[in-house]
Amino acid sequence: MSEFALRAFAGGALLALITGPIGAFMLWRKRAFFGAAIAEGAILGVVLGFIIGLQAILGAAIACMGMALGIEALLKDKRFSDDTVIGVIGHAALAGALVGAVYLARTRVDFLGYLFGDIFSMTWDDVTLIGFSAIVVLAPLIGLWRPLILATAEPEIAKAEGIPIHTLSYAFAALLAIVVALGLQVVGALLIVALLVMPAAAARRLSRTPFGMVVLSTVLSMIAISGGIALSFNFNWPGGPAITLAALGLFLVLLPFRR
Amino acid sequence: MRRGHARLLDPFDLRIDRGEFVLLVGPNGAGKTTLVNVLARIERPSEGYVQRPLRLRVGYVPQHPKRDPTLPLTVASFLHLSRGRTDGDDEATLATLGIRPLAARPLAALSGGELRRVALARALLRRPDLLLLDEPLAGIDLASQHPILALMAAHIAATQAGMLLVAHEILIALPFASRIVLLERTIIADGTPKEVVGSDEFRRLFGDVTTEATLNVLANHPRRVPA
Repeated sequence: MSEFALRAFAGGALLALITGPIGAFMLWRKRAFFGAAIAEGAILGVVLGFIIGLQAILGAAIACMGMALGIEALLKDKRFSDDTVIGVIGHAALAGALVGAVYLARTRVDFLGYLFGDIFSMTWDDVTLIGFSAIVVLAPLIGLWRPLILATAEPEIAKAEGIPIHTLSYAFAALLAIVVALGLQVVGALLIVALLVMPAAAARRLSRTPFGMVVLSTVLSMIAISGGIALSFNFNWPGGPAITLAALGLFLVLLPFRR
Repeated sequence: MRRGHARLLDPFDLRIDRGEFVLLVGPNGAGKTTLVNVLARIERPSEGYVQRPLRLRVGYVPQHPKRDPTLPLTVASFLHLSRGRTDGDDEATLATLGIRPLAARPLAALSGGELRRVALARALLRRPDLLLLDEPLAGIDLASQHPILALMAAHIAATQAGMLLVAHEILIALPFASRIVLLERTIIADGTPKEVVGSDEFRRLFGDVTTEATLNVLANHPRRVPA
Protein backbone atom coordinates (compact mmCIF):
# COMPACT_ATOMS: atom_id res chain seq x y z
CA MET A 1 0.00 0.00 0.00
CA SER A 2 1.34 3.41 -0.89
CA GLU A 3 2.14 5.74 1.96
CA PHE A 4 -0.53 8.32 1.12
CA ALA A 5 -3.18 5.59 1.18
CA LEU A 6 -1.82 4.35 4.51
CA ARG A 7 -2.01 7.89 5.93
CA ALA A 8 -5.57 8.20 4.65
CA PHE A 9 -6.63 4.91 6.28
CA ALA A 10 -4.89 5.79 9.57
CA GLY A 11 -6.34 9.32 9.71
CA GLY A 12 -9.77 8.04 8.69
CA ALA A 13 -9.80 5.31 11.33
CA LEU A 14 -8.80 7.78 14.04
CA LEU A 15 -11.43 10.25 12.88
CA ALA A 16 -14.06 7.50 13.02
CA LEU A 17 -13.22 7.04 16.73
CA ILE A 18 -14.81 10.43 17.33
CA THR A 19 -17.34 10.83 14.51
CA GLY A 20 -19.04 7.60 15.71
CA PRO A 21 -19.77 8.73 19.30
CA ILE A 22 -20.30 12.42 18.47
CA GLY A 23 -22.60 11.44 15.59
CA ALA A 24 -24.73 9.36 17.98
CA PHE A 25 -25.00 12.21 20.50
CA MET A 26 -25.71 14.62 17.64
CA LEU A 27 -28.72 12.52 16.59
CA TRP A 28 -29.97 12.12 20.15
CA ARG A 29 -29.63 15.83 20.89
CA LYS A 30 -31.23 16.84 17.54
CA ARG A 31 -28.13 18.74 16.54
CA ALA A 32 -27.66 17.73 12.86
CA PHE A 33 -28.72 21.15 11.53
CA PHE A 34 -26.54 22.71 14.22
CA GLY A 35 -23.57 20.64 12.93
CA ALA A 36 -24.28 21.80 9.38
CA ALA A 37 -24.22 25.44 10.54
CA ILE A 38 -20.85 24.88 12.25
CA ALA A 39 -19.56 23.44 8.97
CA GLU A 40 -20.80 26.53 7.12
CA GLY A 41 -18.92 28.59 9.69
CA ALA A 42 -15.84 26.49 8.94
CA ILE A 43 -15.96 27.57 5.29
CA LEU A 44 -16.11 31.20 6.40
CA GLY A 45 -13.17 30.50 8.73
CA VAL A 46 -11.09 29.06 5.88
CA VAL A 47 -11.80 32.09 3.68
CA LEU A 48 -11.16 34.64 6.41
CA GLY A 49 -8.07 32.71 7.42
CA PHE A 50 -6.65 32.98 3.92
CA ILE A 51 -7.55 36.68 3.68
CA ILE A 52 -5.83 37.60 6.96
CA GLY A 53 -2.98 35.14 6.44
CA LEU A 54 -3.87 32.40 8.94
CA GLN A 55 -3.42 28.69 8.25
CA ALA A 56 -6.69 27.39 6.77
CA ILE A 57 -7.23 24.67 9.40
CA LEU A 58 -6.58 27.17 12.19
CA GLY A 59 -9.06 29.65 10.69
CA ALA A 60 -11.61 26.84 10.36
CA ALA A 61 -11.06 25.61 13.92
CA ILE A 62 -11.51 29.11 15.40
CA ALA A 63 -14.62 29.72 13.27
CA CYS A 64 -16.11 26.32 14.20
CA MET A 65 -15.64 26.96 17.91
CA GLY A 66 -17.01 30.51 17.60
CA MET A 67 -20.04 29.31 15.65
CA ALA A 68 -20.75 26.41 18.02
CA LEU A 69 -20.53 28.40 21.25
CA GLY A 70 -22.19 31.48 19.72
CA ILE A 71 -25.19 29.56 18.39
CA GLU A 72 -25.48 27.59 21.62
CA ALA A 73 -25.66 30.89 23.55
CA LEU A 74 -28.28 32.29 21.17
CA LEU A 75 -30.41 29.14 21.46
CA LYS A 76 -31.10 30.10 25.09
CA ASP A 77 -33.16 33.02 23.74
CA LYS A 78 -36.56 31.41 23.43
CA ARG A 79 -38.06 34.23 21.34
CA PHE A 80 -36.83 32.33 18.27
CA SER A 81 -37.04 28.64 17.45
CA ASP A 82 -33.81 26.65 17.30
CA ASP A 83 -34.18 26.15 13.54
CA THR A 84 -34.55 29.90 13.01
CA VAL A 85 -31.39 30.77 14.96
CA ILE A 86 -29.32 28.00 13.34
CA GLY A 87 -30.67 28.64 9.83
CA VAL A 88 -30.07 32.38 9.94
CA ILE A 89 -26.54 32.23 11.35
CA GLY A 90 -25.33 29.21 9.40
CA HIS A 91 -26.43 30.50 6.04
CA ALA A 92 -25.20 34.02 6.82
CA ALA A 93 -21.76 32.49 7.44
CA LEU A 94 -21.94 30.54 4.17
CA ALA A 95 -22.99 33.60 2.19
CA GLY A 96 -20.14 35.58 3.76
CA ALA A 97 -17.71 32.83 2.84
CA LEU A 98 -18.88 32.74 -0.79
CA VAL A 99 -18.51 36.52 -1.09
CA GLY A 100 -15.06 36.30 0.50
CA ALA A 101 -14.12 33.52 -1.95
CA VAL A 102 -14.36 36.07 -4.78
CA TYR A 103 -11.22 37.64 -3.37
CA LEU A 104 -9.53 34.23 -3.00
CA ALA A 105 -10.13 33.38 -6.66
CA ARG A 106 -7.27 35.75 -7.48
CA THR A 107 -4.88 33.93 -5.14
CA ARG A 108 -5.16 30.39 -6.55
CA VAL A 109 -6.36 28.86 -3.31
CA ASP A 110 -7.87 25.36 -3.57
CA PHE A 111 -11.17 26.39 -2.06
CA LEU A 112 -13.00 23.28 -3.28
CA GLY A 113 -10.62 21.10 -1.26
CA TYR A 114 -12.25 22.43 1.91
CA LEU A 115 -15.77 22.02 0.60
CA PHE A 116 -15.35 18.37 -0.44
CA GLY A 117 -12.25 17.31 1.51
CA ASP A 118 -9.09 15.65 0.24
CA ILE A 119 -8.24 12.70 2.43
CA PHE A 120 -5.25 11.71 0.29
CA SER A 121 -3.49 15.00 0.98
CA MET A 122 -3.24 14.11 4.67
CA THR A 123 0.23 14.27 6.25
CA TRP A 124 1.48 12.29 9.28
CA ASP A 125 1.20 15.55 11.24
CA ASP A 126 -2.52 15.67 10.33
CA VAL A 127 -2.92 12.05 11.47
CA THR A 128 -1.19 12.87 14.77
CA LEU A 129 -3.47 15.90 15.25
CA ILE A 130 -6.57 13.75 14.71
CA GLY A 131 -5.23 11.13 17.14
CA PHE A 132 -4.55 13.75 19.80
CA SER A 133 -7.96 15.33 19.23
CA ALA A 134 -9.61 11.92 19.59
CA ILE A 135 -8.32 11.78 23.18
CA VAL A 136 -9.50 15.36 23.84
CA VAL A 137 -12.99 14.51 22.56
CA LEU A 138 -13.42 11.01 24.00
CA ALA A 139 -12.17 11.73 27.54
CA PRO A 140 -15.03 14.09 28.50
CA LEU A 141 -17.60 11.88 26.73
CA ILE A 142 -16.52 8.90 28.84
CA GLY A 143 -16.17 10.93 32.05
CA LEU A 144 -19.56 12.62 31.69
CA TRP A 145 -21.38 9.62 30.22
CA ARG A 146 -24.24 9.22 32.73
CA PRO A 147 -25.07 12.93 33.19
CA LEU A 148 -24.82 13.45 29.44
CA ILE A 149 -27.20 10.58 28.70
CA LEU A 150 -29.69 11.78 31.33
CA ALA A 151 -29.42 15.40 30.13
CA THR A 152 -30.03 14.14 26.59
CA ALA A 153 -32.95 11.83 27.46
CA GLU A 154 -34.71 14.04 30.02
CA PRO A 155 -33.17 17.52 30.29
CA GLU A 156 -35.78 18.77 32.76
CA ILE A 157 -35.29 15.84 35.13
CA ALA A 158 -31.51 16.24 34.80
CA LYS A 159 -31.73 19.93 35.65
CA ALA A 160 -34.03 19.31 38.63
CA GLU A 161 -31.52 16.72 39.88
CA GLY A 162 -28.77 19.34 39.82
CA ILE A 163 -26.98 18.39 36.58
CA PRO A 164 -25.62 21.56 34.90
CA ILE A 165 -27.35 20.93 31.58
CA HIS A 166 -26.38 24.28 30.04
CA THR A 167 -22.70 23.69 30.74
CA LEU A 168 -23.04 20.22 29.21
CA SER A 169 -24.68 21.75 26.11
CA TYR A 170 -21.74 24.12 25.66
CA ALA A 171 -19.29 21.26 26.22
CA PHE A 172 -21.02 19.15 23.58
CA ALA A 173 -21.12 22.10 21.14
CA ALA A 174 -17.35 22.53 21.62
CA LEU A 175 -16.72 18.81 20.99
CA LEU A 176 -18.88 18.94 17.86
CA ALA A 177 -16.89 21.97 16.68
CA ILE A 178 -13.62 20.05 17.05
CA VAL A 179 -14.98 17.10 15.07
CA VAL A 180 -16.32 19.32 12.27
CA ALA A 181 -12.98 21.17 12.01
CA LEU A 182 -11.09 17.88 11.82
CA GLY A 183 -13.53 16.47 9.28
CA LEU A 184 -12.85 19.31 6.83
CA GLN A 185 -9.80 17.63 5.41
CA VAL A 186 -11.35 14.16 5.25
CA VAL A 187 -14.84 14.69 3.80
CA GLY A 188 -15.08 18.48 3.56
CA ALA A 189 -17.45 21.02 5.04
CA LEU A 190 -20.41 20.04 2.86
CA LEU A 191 -20.34 16.36 3.79
CA ILE A 192 -19.07 16.22 7.38
CA VAL A 193 -22.62 16.12 8.76
CA ALA A 194 -23.35 13.14 6.52
CA LEU A 195 -20.37 11.31 8.07
CA LEU A 196 -21.80 12.10 11.52
CA VAL A 197 -25.46 11.28 10.78
CA MET A 198 -25.36 8.22 8.53
CA PRO A 199 -23.29 5.74 10.61
CA ALA A 200 -25.15 6.77 13.79
CA ALA A 201 -28.55 6.42 12.10
CA ALA A 202 -27.50 3.04 10.69
CA ALA A 203 -26.26 1.94 14.15
CA ARG A 204 -29.64 2.83 15.68
CA ARG A 205 -31.26 0.07 13.63
CA LEU A 206 -29.29 -2.61 15.54
CA SER A 207 -28.76 -1.03 18.97
CA ARG A 208 -30.52 -1.69 22.26
CA THR A 209 -28.43 0.61 24.49
CA PRO A 210 -26.81 4.04 24.08
CA PHE A 211 -23.35 2.54 24.62
CA GLY A 212 -23.98 -0.19 22.06
CA MET A 213 -25.10 2.44 19.55
CA VAL A 214 -21.95 4.50 20.12
CA VAL A 215 -19.70 1.46 19.61
CA LEU A 216 -21.57 0.33 16.50
CA SER A 217 -21.65 3.86 15.09
CA THR A 218 -17.87 4.01 15.50
CA VAL A 219 -17.37 0.68 13.76
CA LEU A 220 -19.69 1.71 10.91
CA SER A 221 -17.85 5.05 10.59
CA MET A 222 -14.58 3.13 10.21
CA ILE A 223 -16.11 0.85 7.58
CA ALA A 224 -17.61 3.83 5.71
CA ILE A 225 -14.33 5.77 5.69
CA SER A 226 -12.24 2.73 4.71
CA GLY A 227 -14.78 1.69 2.09
CA GLY A 228 -14.91 5.23 0.73
CA ILE A 229 -11.13 5.38 0.48
CA ALA A 230 -11.11 2.05 -1.38
CA LEU A 231 -13.86 3.26 -3.76
CA SER A 232 -12.02 6.51 -4.33
CA PHE A 233 -8.76 4.68 -4.96
CA ASN A 234 -10.20 2.14 -7.39
CA PHE A 235 -12.67 4.27 -9.34
CA ASN A 236 -10.97 7.63 -9.04
CA TRP A 237 -14.00 9.11 -7.24
CA PRO A 238 -13.51 12.18 -5.03
CA GLY A 239 -12.78 11.01 -1.45
CA GLY A 240 -15.48 12.87 0.54
CA PRO A 241 -18.41 11.89 -1.70
CA ALA A 242 -17.11 8.29 -1.91
CA ILE A 243 -17.04 8.04 1.92
CA THR A 244 -20.54 9.54 2.13
CA LEU A 245 -21.90 7.05 -0.43
CA ALA A 246 -20.26 4.17 1.48
CA ALA A 247 -21.98 5.41 4.66
CA LEU A 248 -25.27 5.67 2.78
CA GLY A 249 -24.81 2.07 1.57
CA LEU A 250 -24.40 0.88 5.19
CA PHE A 251 -27.50 2.83 6.24
CA LEU A 252 -29.57 1.30 3.44
CA VAL A 253 -28.36 -2.23 4.23
CA LEU A 254 -29.34 -1.86 7.90
CA LEU A 255 -32.60 -0.03 7.21
CA PRO A 256 -34.82 -3.16 7.35
CA PHE A 257 -33.61 -3.98 10.89
CA ARG A 258 -35.38 -2.53 13.93
CA ARG A 259 -34.55 -2.87 17.63
CA MET B 1 -42.85 35.39 37.55
CA ARG B 2 -42.93 36.67 33.97
CA ARG B 3 -42.19 35.09 30.60
CA GLY B 4 -41.82 37.77 27.96
CA HIS B 5 -44.66 40.20 28.60
CA ALA B 6 -46.92 37.55 30.15
CA ARG B 7 -47.26 37.53 33.91
CA LEU B 8 -47.50 33.87 34.98
CA LEU B 9 -47.42 34.16 38.75
CA ASP B 10 -48.03 37.04 41.14
CA PRO B 11 -45.81 37.31 44.22
CA PHE B 12 -46.46 34.96 47.18
CA ASP B 13 -44.62 32.99 49.85
CA LEU B 14 -44.75 29.20 50.01
CA ARG B 15 -42.95 26.97 52.46
CA ILE B 16 -42.80 23.18 52.25
CA ASP B 17 -41.62 21.34 55.35
CA ARG B 18 -40.24 17.83 55.76
CA GLY B 19 -42.90 15.14 55.96
CA GLU B 20 -45.59 17.30 54.35
CA PHE B 21 -47.82 15.94 51.58
CA VAL B 22 -48.87 19.14 49.83
CA LEU B 23 -51.51 18.85 47.12
CA LEU B 24 -51.32 21.76 44.67
CA VAL B 25 -54.58 22.35 42.81
CA GLY B 26 -55.88 25.02 40.49
CA PRO B 27 -57.53 25.47 37.09
CA ASN B 28 -55.65 25.22 33.76
CA GLY B 29 -53.29 28.15 33.29
CA ALA B 30 -53.15 28.88 37.03
CA GLY B 31 -49.34 28.61 37.06
CA LYS B 32 -48.96 25.20 38.73
CA THR B 33 -46.29 23.91 36.34
CA THR B 34 -44.47 27.24 36.43
CA LEU B 35 -44.37 27.06 40.23
CA VAL B 36 -43.05 23.48 40.17
CA ASN B 37 -40.41 24.44 37.58
CA VAL B 38 -39.26 27.38 39.68
CA LEU B 39 -39.00 25.18 42.79
CA ALA B 40 -37.11 22.55 40.76
CA ARG B 41 -34.75 25.28 39.48
CA ILE B 42 -35.69 24.47 35.89
CA GLU B 43 -36.85 28.08 35.49
CA ARG B 44 -35.43 31.10 37.26
CA PRO B 45 -38.01 33.41 38.83
CA SER B 46 -38.02 36.89 37.29
CA GLU B 47 -38.43 38.28 40.82
CA GLY B 48 -38.24 36.74 44.29
CA TYR B 49 -36.19 33.69 45.19
CA VAL B 50 -36.26 30.03 46.17
CA GLN B 51 -34.43 29.11 49.35
CA ARG B 52 -33.39 25.48 49.68
CA PRO B 53 -31.17 23.66 52.17
CA LEU B 54 -27.69 22.83 50.88
CA ARG B 55 -27.39 19.53 49.00
CA LEU B 56 -31.17 19.08 48.87
CA ARG B 57 -31.97 15.94 46.86
CA VAL B 58 -34.88 16.54 44.52
CA GLY B 59 -37.04 13.89 42.90
CA TYR B 60 -38.96 15.37 39.98
CA VAL B 61 -41.60 14.14 37.56
CA PRO B 62 -42.24 16.49 34.63
CA GLN B 63 -45.71 17.10 33.26
CA HIS B 64 -44.68 15.58 29.92
CA PRO B 65 -41.84 13.04 30.19
CA LYS B 66 -40.01 12.73 26.88
CA ARG B 67 -40.10 9.79 24.49
CA ASP B 68 -37.32 9.83 21.91
CA PRO B 69 -37.07 6.93 19.45
CA THR B 70 -33.51 7.83 18.39
CA LEU B 71 -32.14 7.11 21.89
CA PRO B 72 -32.20 3.35 22.58
CA LEU B 73 -32.76 3.56 26.34
CA THR B 74 -34.62 0.81 28.20
CA VAL B 75 -36.64 1.41 31.35
CA ALA B 76 -34.05 -0.48 33.42
CA SER B 77 -31.10 1.52 32.12
CA PHE B 78 -33.00 4.80 32.57
CA LEU B 79 -33.71 3.91 36.21
CA HIS B 80 -30.05 2.99 36.76
CA LEU B 81 -28.64 6.21 35.31
CA SER B 82 -28.25 7.68 38.78
CA ARG B 83 -28.11 4.60 41.00
CA GLY B 84 -26.42 1.29 40.33
CA ARG B 85 -28.38 -1.19 42.43
CA THR B 86 -31.77 -1.47 44.04
CA ASP B 87 -32.61 -2.85 47.50
CA GLY B 88 -35.72 -4.36 49.11
CA ASP B 89 -37.59 -1.06 49.50
CA ASP B 90 -36.87 -0.24 45.88
CA GLU B 91 -38.30 -3.60 44.81
CA ALA B 92 -41.57 -2.76 46.60
CA THR B 93 -41.66 0.64 44.87
CA LEU B 94 -41.07 -0.96 41.47
CA ALA B 95 -43.74 -3.61 42.16
CA THR B 96 -46.40 -1.05 43.19
CA LEU B 97 -45.66 1.07 40.14
CA GLY B 98 -45.80 -1.99 37.89
CA ILE B 99 -42.32 -1.37 36.51
CA ARG B 100 -40.96 -4.95 36.51
CA PRO B 101 -42.78 -6.09 33.35
CA LEU B 102 -41.61 -2.91 31.61
CA ALA B 103 -37.92 -3.18 32.56
CA ALA B 104 -36.61 -4.44 29.22
CA ARG B 105 -38.80 -2.21 27.08
CA PRO B 106 -37.48 0.92 25.36
CA LEU B 107 -38.71 4.19 26.87
CA ALA B 108 -39.91 5.23 23.43
CA ALA B 109 -42.33 2.27 23.30
CA LEU B 110 -44.16 3.14 26.53
CA SER B 111 -47.62 4.69 26.78
CA GLY B 112 -48.02 8.07 28.49
CA GLY B 113 -49.20 6.47 31.74
CA GLU B 114 -46.37 3.92 31.73
CA LEU B 115 -43.83 6.67 31.12
CA ARG B 116 -45.12 8.62 34.13
CA ARG B 117 -44.88 5.49 36.31
CA VAL B 118 -41.23 5.11 35.24
CA ALA B 119 -40.48 8.79 35.90
CA LEU B 120 -42.13 8.48 39.32
CA ALA B 121 -40.13 5.34 40.09
CA ARG B 122 -36.93 7.18 39.23
CA ALA B 123 -37.91 10.11 41.45
CA LEU B 124 -38.66 7.80 44.42
CA LEU B 125 -35.57 5.60 43.94
CA ARG B 126 -33.36 8.66 44.39
CA ARG B 127 -34.46 8.82 48.05
CA PRO B 128 -35.16 12.52 47.66
CA ASP B 129 -35.59 15.12 50.40
CA LEU B 130 -38.16 16.90 48.26
CA LEU B 131 -40.53 15.40 45.69
CA LEU B 132 -41.88 17.74 43.01
CA LEU B 133 -44.49 15.87 40.99
CA ASP B 134 -46.27 17.59 38.12
CA GLU B 135 -49.42 15.65 37.33
CA PRO B 136 -47.89 12.17 37.76
CA LEU B 137 -51.38 10.62 37.90
CA ALA B 138 -52.40 11.89 34.45
CA GLY B 139 -52.94 8.95 32.13
CA ILE B 140 -52.62 6.41 34.94
CA ASP B 141 -55.52 3.96 35.12
CA LEU B 142 -58.01 4.49 37.93
CA ALA B 143 -57.26 1.17 39.63
CA SER B 144 -53.59 2.13 40.02
CA GLN B 145 -54.03 5.70 41.21
CA HIS B 146 -54.95 4.77 44.79
CA PRO B 147 -52.03 2.36 45.40
CA ILE B 148 -49.62 4.86 43.82
CA LEU B 149 -50.84 7.64 46.12
CA ALA B 150 -50.52 5.27 49.08
CA LEU B 151 -46.96 4.52 47.96
CA MET B 152 -46.14 8.24 47.86
CA ALA B 153 -47.64 8.75 51.33
CA ALA B 154 -45.74 5.77 52.72
CA HIS B 155 -42.52 7.08 51.19
CA ILE B 156 -43.01 10.44 52.85
CA ALA B 157 -43.85 8.85 56.19
CA ALA B 158 -40.73 6.67 56.00
CA THR B 159 -38.21 9.22 54.74
CA GLN B 160 -39.74 12.46 56.04
CA ALA B 161 -39.33 13.96 52.58
CA GLY B 162 -41.50 16.93 51.66
CA MET B 163 -43.76 16.62 48.64
CA LEU B 164 -45.60 18.96 46.30
CA LEU B 165 -48.06 17.03 44.14
CA VAL B 166 -49.89 18.71 41.27
CA ALA B 167 -53.02 16.73 40.51
CA HIS B 168 -56.47 17.23 39.06
CA GLU B 169 -57.53 13.97 40.71
CA ILE B 170 -58.61 15.80 43.88
CA LEU B 171 -61.17 13.28 45.03
CA ILE B 172 -58.75 10.38 45.15
CA ALA B 173 -55.68 12.32 46.31
CA LEU B 174 -57.39 14.31 49.05
CA PRO B 175 -57.40 11.64 51.80
CA PHE B 176 -53.60 11.37 51.55
CA ALA B 177 -52.79 15.09 51.66
CA SER B 178 -51.73 16.86 54.83
CA ARG B 179 -52.19 20.25 53.20
CA ILE B 180 -53.80 21.76 50.10
CA VAL B 181 -52.57 24.82 48.25
CA LEU B 182 -55.03 26.46 45.88
CA LEU B 183 -53.32 28.37 43.10
CA GLU B 184 -54.74 30.90 40.66
CA ARG B 185 -51.66 32.87 39.58
CA THR B 186 -51.11 33.39 43.31
CA ILE B 187 -51.95 31.33 46.37
CA ILE B 188 -55.61 31.97 47.11
CA ALA B 189 -56.02 29.32 49.82
CA ASP B 190 -53.52 27.30 51.85
CA GLY B 191 -54.33 25.02 54.76
CA THR B 192 -55.64 21.62 55.80
CA PRO B 193 -57.89 19.85 53.30
CA LYS B 194 -60.92 20.70 55.44
CA GLU B 195 -60.06 24.41 55.56
CA VAL B 196 -59.36 24.75 51.85
CA VAL B 197 -62.24 22.66 50.53
CA GLY B 198 -64.58 24.56 52.84
CA SER B 199 -63.36 27.93 51.54
CA ASP B 200 -65.34 30.18 49.20
CA GLU B 201 -62.39 30.23 46.78
CA PHE B 202 -62.54 26.45 46.33
CA ARG B 203 -66.29 26.58 45.58
CA ARG B 204 -65.79 29.48 43.16
CA LEU B 205 -63.03 27.64 41.22
CA PHE B 206 -64.47 24.14 41.14
CA GLY B 207 -68.23 24.72 41.32
CA ASP B 208 -70.90 23.32 43.62
CA VAL B 209 -70.94 19.72 42.35
CA THR B 210 -67.20 19.11 42.75
CA THR B 211 -67.13 20.96 46.07
CA GLU B 212 -69.98 18.87 47.49
CA ALA B 213 -68.37 15.64 46.25
CA THR B 214 -65.04 16.68 47.77
CA LEU B 215 -66.65 17.57 51.11
CA ASN B 216 -68.34 14.17 51.01
CA VAL B 217 -64.99 12.43 50.53
CA LEU B 218 -63.54 14.43 53.42
CA ALA B 219 -66.42 13.46 55.69
CA ASN B 220 -66.35 9.76 54.84
CA HIS B 221 -62.64 9.11 54.36
CA PRO B 222 -60.47 10.28 57.23
CA ARG B 223 -56.89 11.13 56.35
CA ARG B 224 -54.90 8.06 55.37
CA VAL B 225 -51.63 8.28 57.19
CA PRO B 226 -49.48 5.19 56.61
CA ALA B 227 -48.49 3.25 59.70
